Amino acid sequence: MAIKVNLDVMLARRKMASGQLAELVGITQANLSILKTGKAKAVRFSTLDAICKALDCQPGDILSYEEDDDA
Amino acid sequence: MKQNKSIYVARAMILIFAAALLIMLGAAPMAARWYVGLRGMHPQTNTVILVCWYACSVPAALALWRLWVLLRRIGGGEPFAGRNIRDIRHVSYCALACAVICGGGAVGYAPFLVVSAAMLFLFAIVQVVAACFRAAMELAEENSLTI
Repeated sequence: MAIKVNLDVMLARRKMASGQLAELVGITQANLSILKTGKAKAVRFSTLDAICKALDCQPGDILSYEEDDDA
Repeated sequence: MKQNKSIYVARAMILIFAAALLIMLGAAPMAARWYVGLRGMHPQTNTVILVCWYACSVPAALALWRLWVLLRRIGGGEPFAGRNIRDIRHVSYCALACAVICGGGAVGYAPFLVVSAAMLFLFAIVQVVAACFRAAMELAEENSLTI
């Protein structure tokens, strides 16, 4: 998929652990891991809203579009 | 609660059919002889009926076993597992096998053609159910990967 999730970068900037973010967002660590590793098929707006609120950032700070080589 | 109820009903139906199959296996020669005598048919028809009956009992038993295993998985919280779709397809192939057997038996006893047609129809229906299950499985997978 061409949509990349750059959560690790924002987590490092905010000096926040994954577990802490998961708790603030209200999702399990397993689901957060699915998001970080790019295995997620979709993200709810409510989840994106909670992540941006927790990390004090914009959706564009954690989501980017990189066209696949085979596209 | 409703799902449990329908699973129990389905399990009861499978057990009833399994018992009926066992009774039929034991009583088939007597029943076939009685029927052929009653209708005044050629004694060879007795053989055709018995061969078809016993031949169809194998896929019927297989189908019942697959359905039992399928129900156990659904009751255990795995309704959309890939193995379930495989089991549903196997049940449809059992219906197809019965259709072929009865189709062949129709040469000696024409009414088996009706049974063959019914089994073919059942094969088609179960294939559609399998396709629905596959689509539901893909939806469930996508939902589980929606954060």
